[in-house]
Amino acid sequence: MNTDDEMYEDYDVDDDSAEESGNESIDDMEYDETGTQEFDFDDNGPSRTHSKLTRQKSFEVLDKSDLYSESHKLIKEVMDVLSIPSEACVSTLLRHMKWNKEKLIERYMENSDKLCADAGVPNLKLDKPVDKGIKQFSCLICLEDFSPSQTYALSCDHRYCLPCWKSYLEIKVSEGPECIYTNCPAPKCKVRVHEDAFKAIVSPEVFERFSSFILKSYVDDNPQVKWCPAPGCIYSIRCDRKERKEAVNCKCGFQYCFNCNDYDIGDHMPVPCSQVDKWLQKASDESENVTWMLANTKKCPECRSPIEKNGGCMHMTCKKNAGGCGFEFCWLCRGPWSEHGSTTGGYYNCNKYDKSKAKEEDEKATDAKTELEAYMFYYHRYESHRNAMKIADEQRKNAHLKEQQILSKFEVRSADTKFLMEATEQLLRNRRVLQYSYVYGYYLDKKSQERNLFEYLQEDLEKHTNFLSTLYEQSLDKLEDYQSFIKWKEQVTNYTRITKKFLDNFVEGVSGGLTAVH
Amino acid sequence: MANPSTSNKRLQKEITDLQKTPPGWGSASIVGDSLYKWKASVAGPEGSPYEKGTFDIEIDIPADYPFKPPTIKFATKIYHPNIKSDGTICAQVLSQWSPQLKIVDVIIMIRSLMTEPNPDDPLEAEIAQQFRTDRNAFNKTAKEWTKKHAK
Repeated sequence: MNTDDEMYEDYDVDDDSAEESGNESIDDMEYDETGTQEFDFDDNGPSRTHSKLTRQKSFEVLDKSDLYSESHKLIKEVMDVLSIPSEACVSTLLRHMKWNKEKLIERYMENSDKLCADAGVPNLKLDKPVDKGIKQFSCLICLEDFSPSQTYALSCDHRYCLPCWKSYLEIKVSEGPECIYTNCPAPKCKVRVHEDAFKAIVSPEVFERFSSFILKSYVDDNPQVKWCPAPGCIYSIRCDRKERKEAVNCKCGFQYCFNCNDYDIGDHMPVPCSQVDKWLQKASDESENVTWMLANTKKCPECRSPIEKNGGCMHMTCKKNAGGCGFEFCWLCRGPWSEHGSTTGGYYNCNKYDKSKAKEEDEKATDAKTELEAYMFYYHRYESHRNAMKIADEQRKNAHLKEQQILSKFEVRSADTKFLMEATEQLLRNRRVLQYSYVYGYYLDKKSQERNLFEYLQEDLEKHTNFLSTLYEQSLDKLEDYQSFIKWKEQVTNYTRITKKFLDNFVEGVSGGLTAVH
Repeated sequence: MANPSTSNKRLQKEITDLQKTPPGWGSASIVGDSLYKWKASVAGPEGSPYEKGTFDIEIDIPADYPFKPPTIKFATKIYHPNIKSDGTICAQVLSQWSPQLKIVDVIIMIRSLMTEPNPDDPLEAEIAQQFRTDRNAFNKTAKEWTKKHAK
């Protein structure tokens, strides 16, 4: 297994690109106040890593208005470069080209007529004014008569009444994101309905929805921008780096791997993305159940129903009320129980076993069981830290309540309670890393030297994290006076610092390839 | 959303037009009292293996008609690469829907599909394969089915 190389690939930091991107927005700075940090690795070696455990401003949280201004900036740029005065035309062209400005300009230079026709804005014309000579008009959709002022046609001159246009477009919007690619209602007509037409025809609420689908396409078509995967989160994040699949912090408070972009996975440091995939696949794999069945059940020798032995003696009965056949047999040799008794070794043994085929089958099952037990060990701990992390997340959300209690009980300044938030943030980070450390551990070669160091560092981190957790959760009732509060505060602060050091050591150790103690 | 009277008025007009000028391919009318459920009897197109057969087609019309297309189902068994054994039709036929099209247009589209099956987009892969590789055998079975089921 080439774990070390994978680690580097996934967690490398390219310092230059971090500076180039320069996305030092105010939004990012807010996170420094709450103490949220990112852990970054440095490919110049672990010696420098420690000093690099500071935030990298390599991503940017975007809200709806940011997306709006970004996309409109792009539209304006294209309008300038290609001297196209109509915003609606350029917007349609850009959507057609998946918001790829360079490609759009290139294709436009090659053959502007073809590009415009393909995009559904032939000759860059938006609509066709009604002929002055026409007094009355019959709509081909509702088959009713209208005065020309109540009609509309795109550049293709397929004219319909406004009520039919409204119904047509509003139904398209109700059908979802594809509405931004709506064409003229005429059969086989490829002229696209542009933004201005939507705006003029549909209700403001529907247009709002249409506009949000345009922003959605701007994000979806853009590999550098992704929606935050936290449920109900309205933000998206821009991350310009191509190589590193780093963790990012959304404004909603969620920290996650930008590459995996998955709410359940979150930030999976120190494990590379590929290993997370493998682990999750394993966890969800049906074959795991089969392994369990193999290790824990035997088939009834008569009817082949699977039977689990959960204790007691070797005398088994295939229970009829559980869908079995009622056959009584020996668990060891699978022979009929009627042949058993004190002569065959009694209720807890069976001297027929050694010679039976059953023994071979059992040996197979033992192998499966060992592998299963190893997996269960890691999975159980992975899950425990995952759950502890959820608790820590709740604690973080409720930290201000504890803060209020402290403020009223001990008459301290609010600056004196800052350590609480710092402690919960630290706990959260530790739990997250510990959770994935068990994935890392599962795939680490069982006999390797690295394993010793890994387990040593992991144990340290785990021990101190649990200690901090207990300390943090201590009931305020036990703190009798100001002095005991200060003592507790110092303890929590110290342990926050200590666990941070253990976390850094762990992360550093794993990223350094676990070859030497730092 | 669509004004419910749009679909109502338009379907009324379509029915009146059908009564005024009956189509050459058979007949179409509403089933029971609902304007939104139609049944059509369609003559198999000349020159196709379905010639001389009469095929019953059920047409369900959505409330958002004509902005959304009707759904079509063959009630008569037919041997055709784009029509499933339960009578449903490849959605491709109506994916190019335009609110300007009428029920009669849908039937005309179906008739042209009967004349010219589209084996590249099949619902019945085996029939499509036969249509491509052994046209005579295909025509033979289609004719037999027409004789047997589409009287």
